[in-house]
Amino acid sequence: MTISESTETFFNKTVTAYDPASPVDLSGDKVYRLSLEYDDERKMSELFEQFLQSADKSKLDSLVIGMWGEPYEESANDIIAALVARAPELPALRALFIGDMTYEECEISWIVQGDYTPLLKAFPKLEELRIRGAQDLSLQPVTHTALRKLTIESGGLPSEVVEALIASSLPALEHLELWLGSDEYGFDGDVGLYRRVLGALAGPSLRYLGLRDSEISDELAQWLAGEEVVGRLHTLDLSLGTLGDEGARALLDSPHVRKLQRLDLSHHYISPALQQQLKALAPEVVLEDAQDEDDGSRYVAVGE
Amino acid sequence: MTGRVTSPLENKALPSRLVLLGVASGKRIRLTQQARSAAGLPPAEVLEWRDWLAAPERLSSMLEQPCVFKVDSPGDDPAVQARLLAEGCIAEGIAVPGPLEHGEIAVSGAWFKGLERALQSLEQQLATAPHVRVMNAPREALLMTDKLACQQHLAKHDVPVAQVLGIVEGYDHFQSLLDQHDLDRAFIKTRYGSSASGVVAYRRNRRGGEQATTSAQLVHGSNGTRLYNCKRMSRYHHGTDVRSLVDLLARQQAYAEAWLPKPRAGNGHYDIRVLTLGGQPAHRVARIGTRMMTNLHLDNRRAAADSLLDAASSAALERVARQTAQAFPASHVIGMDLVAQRGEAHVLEANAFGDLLPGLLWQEQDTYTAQWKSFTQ
Repeated sequence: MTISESTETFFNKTVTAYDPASPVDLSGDKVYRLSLEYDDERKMSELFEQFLQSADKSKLDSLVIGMWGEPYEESANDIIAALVARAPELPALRALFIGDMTYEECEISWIVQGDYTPLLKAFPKLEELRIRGAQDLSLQPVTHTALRKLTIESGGLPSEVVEALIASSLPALEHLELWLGSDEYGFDGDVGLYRRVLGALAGPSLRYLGLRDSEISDELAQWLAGEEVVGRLHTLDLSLGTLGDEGARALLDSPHVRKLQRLDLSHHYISPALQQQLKALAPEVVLEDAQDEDDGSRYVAVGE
Repeated sequence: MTGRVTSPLENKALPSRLVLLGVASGKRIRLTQQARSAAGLPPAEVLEWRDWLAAPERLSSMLEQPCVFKVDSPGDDPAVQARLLAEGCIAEGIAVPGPLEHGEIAVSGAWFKGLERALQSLEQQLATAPHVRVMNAPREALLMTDKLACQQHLAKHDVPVAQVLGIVEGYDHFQSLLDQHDLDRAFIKTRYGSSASGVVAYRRNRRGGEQATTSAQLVHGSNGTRLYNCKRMSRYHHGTDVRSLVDLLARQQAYAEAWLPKPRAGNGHYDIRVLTLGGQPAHRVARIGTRMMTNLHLDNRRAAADSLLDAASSAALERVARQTAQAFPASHVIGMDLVAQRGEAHVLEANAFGDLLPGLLWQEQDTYTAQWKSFTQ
């Protein structure tokens, strides 16, 4: 019997559930997750205040926000406002994950997010931002010189958010991870849009590009195969999507792909023959979780 | 330390024969025989369910000499299932339906009626052989197979269970049940289904969204829409699909119960399967699912229960497992699914045939070795 490790990490720290009854210890490698229960009487902003009272605010460098009240009905704007209000007292905060919820707590497509513009302005030293859920997610174009890692996980990423990223300046960005999702849940982009994302955000520091959970994986792969920028990356991640032989062939023939260290294609629809050829490439190619078409249809890993 | 003193005579009186009513080609019998052979016991004498149904007297002759008797699951032997369904239809005075397709969910009241008659006659047959030690009483196995009656039985014995909202008559009725209880999420379960078969996790929100996650799959065909069991979870979020799903399940006797939140582990959530032996909690395993249902056959991970539970929740788990076993005093072996957290535990389900847990050890013994030892000691 396999005993599986179930620990999660964020900002290279172990995610630990915050329990108001236990002392907060920020000295080790813990990052606290604040999360309400289903039918909880409290509000997330109250839990956050309670947490700050027991934490050494000058040392708090990272935080995970889970289920806030009824995240399928109420937005993240309350907790964003609470974070912004306390920003001057949190000089060390470098990493935020907002929306760490499982399927059981709230399906990704049901999470009502919020406006991240004030948050990015209030935390100019923030290095990592991870957002789960894209419903009502909004952003105005920003300039942020510290942000190294940006992740937006969604079941369907709307173009307005992507347009705001294109018009933003993120010169320190090393890790850009977007979950495009399915058009049933709000994805309305195309290759042209993501070509512009790469043009705007692939600075010299970019090491990881993830265009994950996409139902246009084949088209993305065919385009990326011809992008010189890809050759400068450490990792190209097209996992969780619908990649099949068309996209795989383009990746195989690409001189840029050969220069990668890692190519993640997990959750794919690639034939065994092409999988063999991919495995022979110089970069480490991840081909886990092979899928079979269901009556000729392919599905992204995370939709609803 | 002094060992228990047993006279050779007493030792001789311990039955070493096991007579099993089961499905010989199944995993349960194979693991039982492996455990017996490893313990130096003679192989269990197996009577096929289908043979017993055709000629019950065969069991009487097997029970003439002292032995232990155990009834195992009739499994999914199509011959047995068809026979139970036919007997039930005759008893209810209704027409026997045409054959089911593989995986089709149609565990009707008539099927249960057939099982009820079979287990009642087994109970009577066992009553004529008082020298036989019965490991699990058929009447209690029957009660556990009626999931709704089982939950109500447990509630009557003050065992904490998920609140039963009642029988679901159809989609609209289900909506009114939710309104009545001021809930936006609930589970729908088929009354006579097993494990994750025909279970729906349903939720709705005030934004007008609804979704149903289920192991049942809707298949639209020329003869209307039918339900099939599927190893993969399906999700329905379009009004018409959710409506037909709930309506179809309601036709096979389904009930709704409150959605007990399961504790989180990593990116998944878990419940715990506990096996009680002679009323005492023994084998236990956490089942972590990153999808809605954590039943073992749906590809989930197992973890040691101890690694996830704090001391108070562990104690609650054992306490509630004992309470559950007390509600079924004639069942030496019960497999139960529980949710334990914050020092509380609730029973999701009790299974008469819940001992198929390959590779899981308790005090270094697998479930079949341990149940024999604890029963015959």
